[in-house]
Order: sequence, then C-alpha cells, then structure tokens
Amino acid sequence: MTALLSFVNVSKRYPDGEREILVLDRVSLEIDAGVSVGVYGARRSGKSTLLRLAAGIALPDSGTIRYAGRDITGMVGSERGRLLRREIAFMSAADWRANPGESVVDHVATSLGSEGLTMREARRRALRVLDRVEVGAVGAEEPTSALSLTERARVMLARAIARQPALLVLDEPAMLPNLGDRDRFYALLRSVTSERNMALLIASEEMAALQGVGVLMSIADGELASTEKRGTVVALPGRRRAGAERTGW
Amino acid sequence: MSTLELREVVKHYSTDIETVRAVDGVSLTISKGEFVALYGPSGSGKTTLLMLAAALSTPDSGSIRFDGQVLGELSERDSALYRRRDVGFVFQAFHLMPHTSALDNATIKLTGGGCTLREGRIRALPWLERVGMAERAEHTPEQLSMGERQRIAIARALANEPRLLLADEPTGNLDSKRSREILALMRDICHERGIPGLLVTHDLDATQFVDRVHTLRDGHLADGLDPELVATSS
Amino acid sequence: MRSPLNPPIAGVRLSMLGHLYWVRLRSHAVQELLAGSGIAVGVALVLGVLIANASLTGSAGELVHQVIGSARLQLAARSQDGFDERLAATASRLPGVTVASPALRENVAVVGPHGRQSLQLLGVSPSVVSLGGFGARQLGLAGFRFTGGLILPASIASAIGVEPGDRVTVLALGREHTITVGAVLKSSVFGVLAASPVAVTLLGSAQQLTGLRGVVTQVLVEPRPGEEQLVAAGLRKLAAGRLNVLAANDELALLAQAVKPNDQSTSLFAAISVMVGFLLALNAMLLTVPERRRFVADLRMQGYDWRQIVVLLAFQAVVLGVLASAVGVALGDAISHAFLHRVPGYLTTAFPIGSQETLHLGTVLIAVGCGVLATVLASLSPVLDLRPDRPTDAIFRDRSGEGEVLARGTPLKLAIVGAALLVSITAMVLIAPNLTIVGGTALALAALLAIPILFAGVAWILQWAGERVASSSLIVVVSELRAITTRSVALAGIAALAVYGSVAIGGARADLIRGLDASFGEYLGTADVWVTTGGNDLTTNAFDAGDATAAVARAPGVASVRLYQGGYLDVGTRRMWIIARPAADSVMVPASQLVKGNIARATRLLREGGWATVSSAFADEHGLGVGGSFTLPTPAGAARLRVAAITTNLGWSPGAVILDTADYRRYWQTAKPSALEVDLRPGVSQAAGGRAVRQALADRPGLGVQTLSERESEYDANARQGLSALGQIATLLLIAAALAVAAALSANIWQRRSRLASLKIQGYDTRQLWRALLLESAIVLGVGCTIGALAGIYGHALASRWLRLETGFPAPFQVGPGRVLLTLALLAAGALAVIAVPGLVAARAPARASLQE
Repeated sequence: MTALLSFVNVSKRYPDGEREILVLDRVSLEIDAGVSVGVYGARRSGKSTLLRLAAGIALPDSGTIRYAGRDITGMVGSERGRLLRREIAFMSAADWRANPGESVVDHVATSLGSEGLTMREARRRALRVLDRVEVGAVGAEEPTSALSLTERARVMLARAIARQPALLVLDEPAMLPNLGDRDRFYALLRSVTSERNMALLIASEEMAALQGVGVLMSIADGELASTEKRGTVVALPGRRRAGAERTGW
Repeated sequence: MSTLELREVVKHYSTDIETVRAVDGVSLTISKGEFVALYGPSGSGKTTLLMLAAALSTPDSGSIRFDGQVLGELSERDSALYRRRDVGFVFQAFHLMPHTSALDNATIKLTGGGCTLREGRIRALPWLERVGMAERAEHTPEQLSMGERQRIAIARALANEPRLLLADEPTGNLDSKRSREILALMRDICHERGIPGLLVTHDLDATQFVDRVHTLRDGHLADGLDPELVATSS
Repeated sequence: MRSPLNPPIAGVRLSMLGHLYWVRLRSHAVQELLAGSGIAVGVALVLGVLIANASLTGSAGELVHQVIGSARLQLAARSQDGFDERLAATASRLPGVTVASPALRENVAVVGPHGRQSLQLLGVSPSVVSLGGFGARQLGLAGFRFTGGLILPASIASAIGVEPGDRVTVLALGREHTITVGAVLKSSVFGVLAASPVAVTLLGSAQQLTGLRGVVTQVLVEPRPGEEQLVAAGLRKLAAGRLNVLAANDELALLAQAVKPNDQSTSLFAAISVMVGFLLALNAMLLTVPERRRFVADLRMQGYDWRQIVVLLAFQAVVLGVLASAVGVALGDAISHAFLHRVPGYLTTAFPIGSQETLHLGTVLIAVGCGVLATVLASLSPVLDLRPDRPTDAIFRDRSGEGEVLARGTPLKLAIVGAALLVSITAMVLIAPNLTIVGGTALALAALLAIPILFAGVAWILQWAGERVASSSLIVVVSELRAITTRSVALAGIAALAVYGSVAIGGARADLIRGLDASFGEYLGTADVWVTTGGNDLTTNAFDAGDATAAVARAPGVASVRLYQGGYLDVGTRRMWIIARPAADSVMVPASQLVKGNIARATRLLREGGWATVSSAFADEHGLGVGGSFTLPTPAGAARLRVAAITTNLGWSPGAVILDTADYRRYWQTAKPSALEVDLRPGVSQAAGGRAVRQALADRPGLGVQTLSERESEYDANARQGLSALGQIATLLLIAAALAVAAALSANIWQRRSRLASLKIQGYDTRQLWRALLLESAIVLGVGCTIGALAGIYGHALASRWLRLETGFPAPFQVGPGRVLLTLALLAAGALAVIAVPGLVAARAPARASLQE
C-alpha cells in the first residue's frame, strides 16, 4: 500500500541576504492515510518549511514528494492547486487574515467557492462545520474581527476541514495564552480528525500541541532529528543524529 | 546609578478586537550590568511592559524610574530624548532602513540627535566592529542574512552608548544557532558596559543566556520560569 | 441547482464572485474608494478633454443636417450680396430636381431688453419643410405658420430677455428693423437648433430685415436618387462660374478646416490627459496591490485554481473600473458643461455653432475603456504570484509590501532609453513637423523614463549633504529614495505629466496670444476710429454706407474717412478671410506677420492692383511662392491674382488674403464697405473722436463705432476666449494631479507607519518624522515637477514651431519663466498642503505598531 504522503531526500534552501540557508536537509518521511504525525521543533527549525512542502504550497529544491503516489513536484500548477482544493488543507495561525466586516460563516463559506457552490449552499455547509468545531450559530454571524484567539483558531480549523480533505497540515495552529483553551482546542482537533479519518501533519514548538499523535518527530536546523514511533507509520529521517545538539531540555 | 526600577506598575487597556492582558502590579528592579529575561506567552503583557520601560506609554498607577527620573512624568520631547540618549532598543523585525548601508543604519540615532552623517559614522564604526560586522559595513540590509541584520540592529542600539538595553523578541526571526550568538552578544555587552538589559521573549531557549528570568502571565510577574508553562511546553 | 442567473465562471458561481467582492468592499472600503476616485478623476479628465475636442464639430454637424434635411446639393453665393431668388425657381425646373429651396443667410444682431446677441439670420421658404430636416419638420409641427415672426432659439431669447409676442430689434447690414418674436425653440424639442445662434424666419421677412429684396444666398437642392451628377451639372450651368455648386453639407468641411488647428492642439492635450488619467487610475490601483496579493494567496490556500483567481481578479477590476468610470463620465460631463465647453467666439461669425452638448457614445466608450484598462492592468500584478515556481503563500512571508523596487541598473537603462527617445523625437519633428503631436506624446514618455535616475541623483546629493550637515531627516529620506519603487515613479510621473502638459500647452498658448495680439494690433492700427456693423466679426459684414461716410467726414476732429472692404470667401475647404484695404491705408500688410517676401515691395504691389498676400497654409496647399499666380472663386467669376507676399494666417485658421479695395470692388462687384476707417486730426483724442463719430451716426443705430483701443481690446478678448478651453484644461489637469498625487503620497506614507514607529523608539519625535515625510514628499514632487517643466519647455518650443509651420498661426516662441514657476509652485503647494495632515497623522503613529504582539 502506498503512503498517502511521502518525502524522499527533500532539501530546501532560502536566500538569506547574499547567502543561502539550508532550511531542510535531505528529509525523508512517510505518512499513511488516517494517521496523525506531529513535528516538534523550535522556531526557525525548518518545521514550517516541511509543512509547506507537504501541502504543495512551496516546492523543494531537490528530492521527491509524492501524494497518493503522484509526484507533487512534477505537477503543473493547476494540478497542485486542485490538490489543495480536494485533498490537502493547510492552516497556520500566522497566516490569519481578518477581513473586517466579514462574518465568520462567510469567511468559511468563501473557501468553498472554488468548488462551484452558490453562496447559499456554501453558507449551509459552513454552518454545519462551524457547529462541529463548536462555534455556534450565534457566533457564526459575528464579524471575524471580533473573534478571540481561541475562537479564531476554531474558525480556521473549520475552514481547513470544510472541504473534507484527506490530509490536514497544521503549522502552529493555536498559540493560545490560556492553557485550558489550548488543551480544549487540541482535544477537538483530535476528535475531528479521527471521526473523519483524516491524516494529520501538525507542527508546533509546544509539546502540548502534539499530545496523542501517532508518530512524533522532532526537527532542528533543517534535519529531522529524532522520531518516535507510536503507531503504524514509518518515518525515515534522512540523516539521523541521535541527541541532536538542541540546547536546553 | 543606571537602574531600571518598576514599582507596582499597573497598565490596563482594551481594544475592541480582544482583551489585551494588562500589566497588573508588577515590581521589578534591574541593576547595572544585569541582563534579565521576561518570559511569557504571547498576549501576556510583555510588550506593554517594554513600552512602559521605553517611555512610550505611561502607567495607570505605580512608577517606573530610570536613573532616578520618573518616566511617566516626562514630556513628549523629554521622552524622545530619553529614548535617543539612554535607551538602546532591539526589535524582532530589525526595522533597518532599506537600501542603506549597515554603517549608515547604525548612525540613525546619532543623526537624529544632531550629528552629521560623517560624525555619526565615526562613532558607529567601533560598534559594528564590536558586533563583528565591520567588514560588512557597506552592505545594505538586503545583502545581509537575518543574523547579520540583527547584529547591525544591535550596533545601532548601542551606537549612542545607551545606559539601558531593551529587546523585544530579538531572536524571533533567527534560527537556533544565530539566536544563541545574538543573545550571548547582548548579555556580554550588558556585562561589559555595566548597563541593565531587559529581554522580552517567549522562547524558552533564550532564557538560557540571561542572568535572571521572570515569568509574566496574565499581567502578573513571577520569579524564575513558571513551572506550569514550562511543563506544558516540553 | 443550475440557475441561468448564477452561472459558474471557471467553476465559481457568479453569486460567489459577487459575494467575494462585497466582502472586499466592506473590508477595504477606503482603499477601494481611493482607487475608485483615482480612476474616476482620470476618466473625467479624459472625457472632459475629449468632449472639448469633439463637440464643436459635432454640434455644428447636427445643426447643418437639421437644416438641410434631404438636400444633397446647394447653389451658394460667393458673397453676402447673394443672387437673384428667381434662380431657385429655375433650379427647381432642372431635370432630376425634386426640391429646390431658396434661403438667405446673413450675420445679424438681435437686441432685446436684456442685451444684444450676434447670430445668423436664416430666411427659409416654406419648401424647406419638404426637405424634411428634423428642424424644419419640427418647425412645421410647432405651428410655425409663416406668420412673418422671428423664431429664436431658447438660449438667445433668454439672453436678450424676450418671449414670443415681444418685439425685438434686428441690426442687419447696418440697418435697423423691428420684428415680432414668433416662437422660441425649446431644446427639449429642437435639440441643437435651440442652442445654436440661428434665428429662423420667412425668406420674405429676412429679405426685408436685411434690405436685400429679391436676393438669396443659397438654394438647397434635393436631386432624385441617382441623378445627383445630372443635377450638379445643371446647377453648374446656372452658376455660370459666379456661384458655387457644392454639397449641401459643404459647410461642415469648411468648419472642420477652421477648427483643425484647435482640434490638433487639443488632441495633444487629450493625449497627455489620457496618459495622466491612466497613470492616476494605475497608481490608485497600485496602492491596493499588497492587500490584493494577500487575498490571492488566501484563495489559493483554499484551493482556488489560477483560472478561478484570474476570473475573480478580473471580475473585481471590471466592476470597480466600470463603476468608477461611470462616476468619472458623470464628473467629466459635469466639468465640460460647467466650464470647458464654450464655442470660440471668433468662429461664430463665420459658422453658426451652438453650445449644444453632444456626448457621443464613442467618446464615453474611449474614456470608460481607458479607466477599465488601467484598472485591469494595475490589478494584474498579483497574478504574477500565480507563477508555478512561486510558493502559494509567498505574500505571507513577504513583509515589504511597499511595491516593486526597481533593480539596480534599471534607472540608468531607462534614462538611456529616454535620451534616445528624446533624440529621435527631435529628429522626427525637425524632418516632419506634422508629427509634432506624436512627438509631444513621446516626449512625455521620455520625461517619465528620466524620473528614476533623477531620484537616484537626488538621493546621492542628499547623502552627500547629510555627511556634512547635521539633519535628522536627510538619512531617513535618502533611505526611502534609494528604494525606487514603481509607485514613487508613478507618483512623480503624474506630477511630471501634469506640469509638462501645463507648461507646454500653456506656453504655446501664451505664444499664440502674443502673436495674435501683435497681428491684430497692426491690422487695426490703420485707423483711429472704426465704424462697423458691430459684433464679434473680423470686419466681414458689409453694409450700405449711404450718406454715413459723408456724415462721418463732416464730424469735428475727423481728418479723413476710408472705405474698408472684406468678407469670407469659400475656397475649396477653406472659408478664407478676405481683407481689402484702401490704398491710402498706412499699413497694407502687418509686417510682423510676414513669412515670405519683402514688406515694402508687397505693399507697393498690393496698391498697384492684381496682387494679394496669402497665408502660408493656403500657399503650401497650392504650391505658391512669392510672385506665383492663383485664382479665387469670386462673385465675378475666377479672379486671377499674384502672390505679393506670404503671411501667417493672421489669426484666422483657414487663412487670409489681403488685397486692395480696387481689386475687391472689381471682383466682388460691390462698393459696400464692411468698415469705415476714420483718421482723426492731430491732437484729437480717440475718445473725443469716437464721441464725435458716434454723434454723426446717431441716425444709424445699425452701425457700431469703436475707437482703436476699444476695437483692439475686443479682438484680444476674442483671441483669449477662443483659447480659453486650453487654459481651463491646463488648470484642471493641475488640480486633478495635485489631488491625486497628494492622495497617493498620503496612502504611501500611511503604509510605512510601522517603520516610522520604529524610528520613534530610536528617539525621533513627531516633529522630526513629519519633517522627514514632508521633505520626502517634496522631493518626489520636485523631481516630477522639474522633469515635467524641462520637458514642458521643450514641448512648448516644439508646439510653437508646429503652430507656425503647420497651422500658420502667429506664435513666436518665448519662455515665460514666471508662468512655469507659478505652475510648479501651484502643483507642489497644493499637493504638499494636502499631504501635511496625513503626514502628521502618520508621524504620530504609536510606537506599538513596530513591536511584536
């Protein structure tokens, strides 16, 4: 059985002034359908890049990324776009973009426009999803600018799952000041993904966000530094370096 | 005596978007030569505290003193003067001027205070040397890496030989190696020059490089790292 | 679920497109409003200029067609003395003719309780109704029962204060009569006819009013289909070389020729306005680019594919473009109504042109097209993010958000292209002056290309200064200038284009006015007091002098009286101005207007007879040099004359001919003067002489008496009024540009608040930041204005040369530094005054804006 998503020797560089920095260094991994994978890493460790590559948002400099056996890197732009519409949803709290005046339900509904839904159909579906992430009917009519951080994270999650993707890619989805809110959010995330049998790739610098994932990996300075196999998924870090030189604890 | 002293500082404010947790009765003293970290999650009031220390806002109650002067009582011109003369400020986003050489960037406070560019360059160059950027003095920010940009920003903060160093998430845009270098540099400078330094961060790693850590949560200050925060993060 | 009203476009429902735009409108109302108003102002500018450019000939064309109806041919007199009306009856009996309707047209003045208006009296016979022109038909329906009354257009009736049934005085050919106003034409029914300076009456009444019994000036002829050639031949036989046989709408060609220089000079302006309007709209849209890019990225993250996004962007651009353009059309229409559209007075004596607005669909489409095109083009740049190798969320990582920065070598490259363009323009215009308008447009482009390098130069100078002078703002400004963004170039470009247009056109206009003043000064300077029929004419209305000459000669203080003759003569497509001077005139040919020939010799030849001067355009058209011979179609048949000298057009665009009155009397077969030139005795003031002549002519109210200075100022005023549209457009351009630049600069400053705030933490106070912002704005403006002024002066030189060479107008080139500086100061001061407030607000940005939350 082919993995849902696989990385083989994937590297990515970014220009940094006149130099380049190696953000991902020959990373390999596999994720099966319906399984959750957590990537733990500090800021600037390369985890966001890893996730953006996984979602087909950015392209690697070398290596191969396959989704359901198809090579993402070789696809034309529109095909990759279709992947984002039908198969993969990406979300990062950092990308939040409030449209003052837009209601929550409309915010979710517009994400369904690419499927050719009318506004009315899209709203109906958005309301169902918002209900699932426990943003009630009253909250749905609120303007997005009035949302608290916690509500915002839930609305973004609703937007991500509204098109019922097979793979949910979440990059630091909720940096919440209130720890109770944070834990409730991740509990919701786990139940939503498992009931819909979505594969999940989630990255955070907070270990609490990664509780209960099937496979836990950590990343530092562009290298998948350690993996902890908890489920059926096999992760193949390119170059293992045991006891990576992470400072602190 | 260059000492930053916060006494029972209270600052409340709210926006219509969300309730910003205010600073609520914080007392803190940073003596000269001390590099202190204020650790806290986003929205914990760290930035508010930094604004108060830079005399960019005034406390609702309590007092903030630097070197004997009460910051809340400064006029707009005097507070600008305080920032230009006494404070060195390091940002997460660097805020360097684009297309302007590293050296000229480092002179910004000096020219703001009435130096010619030439005089400013003479005074700023030793600071570029100190942060290890002398040989890249003519490069513009676009040609520099993130770590190099932050070094320039530190040289800029120090060029007027400030008596207080304030830093707002200075390593937020840097990778771990660069972060460690920058933090060590800032700590060393505080020690060398015997000035108080206040680092605001939500990066636990950063707290490794300071003399003292305080945790700010919901506007309240606690000594050391909050065990609950640390536990949920590891 | 398939609804015809809600079709999917590239897989996105129309309702979803609409909703997404609605969201955008609500969340970015200010930007959208700013962009929209930029587009609207641009479109208004384009439209206003196009209307000013087009409606002159348009309304005249409509008028002519209303009168001639189905007539195809006409028999036309060669002077206002006309011909025997019985020729009409003869013409109607010609084989192939269905209708031959006689008409009498003379320039007259009507006087009512509120004043006096010059207009054309049109006497028609009842047969004109059978020609079926709209106006004629409506006249029939409106109960125009040929009661002998005078039918006045509403505009004239209200101006002189009369209503149907009132008596008005008609001053015609030096005579005075009264007549009852039979009807007033309302514009709602009669359109252009009601707004034109034309009074209609029965042929008989017209003949009585003018004293031309049994005379007509025109016979309109409708041939049977397919027999036009036959009828024309018959008419030519009737004309016997003394009358013109022309197409019925021949007047249009004459008018087109007369307004051609006007059209051409406004078309240069139109071209510049279109560029400015386009830049305004483009710049307004560029302001919204960063936020549109975020919108695009967000949609891509939600799985919209590139086709859907292009459809979305195009939909939003078209909606905004069309809405804003519609507002712009309304605005432009209002502007042109308010003060742009006025018929040059000098034309109304030769052509019955009204001020009826004609807003053509084509004009509107061009203006709207411009607006939509600019909007669509400017909104395309986010599409660049759709390149397959660009990360989908590129914009989320791109924190600059301040527009595209030009690459390092680009300013130099652009400057080289600009210089090359300048050289080619110069070469092209030297070789082919008729390509000046193209050159003028290209010159504007060359000016734009020079802007980036000027920015770089100014940055270098400021840096140099900053090294030596203690200034907190210099380094901040230098840093902003170094990053030459497309947006700041576009900003300076607007200023440059506006200044360029104002300086070039304003300069050419000043040259022209100076030239005209000189020409008219010499032309009128031959007499101390002029007696004419009055009105804004070029001394072209003949009158029956009767015993007036003797009466004037007897008046105290009068030394001598001479008869001046002249009128209009249609030669080909030109309605030429004929000046016939008595040999005793001190000046036969204005020396300042001589293009070729010797003034003393020309004067001598003219007095000898058989010689005439002609305008350069006419000479060029017929390949004439000094000494060459040419023929004029005069009432006595073809008159063969030789060229004594070649002049400018003396201020009348179709051209002028100067000859001796002896020749005129022979060829025009008339002794009627169109003016009495009165010389005063030495020591008698003009004012006193004028009073004496007025007294002597007390029984001839149809004649007007003007002293030399009165007449000169009337001519000068006419020349200025004729050129006023140019000045108004120039002012409008400056105002629009100042506002647009101010708006765009303000928005530009606003987007930099975070960086400004960080400077606050560096110890800059509000005042220092404000100063830096104003300095920077002043530099952007200054660069634009300087380039614009330099290009403008060059363009002015080209335009004046073009006026002289191609149109034959007198336009001696002279730079008016005061005017250039005033233009610059107006634009810069206007824009800076508007920027000051948002600049201050941005300078007061809270420092928190630069910190991480």
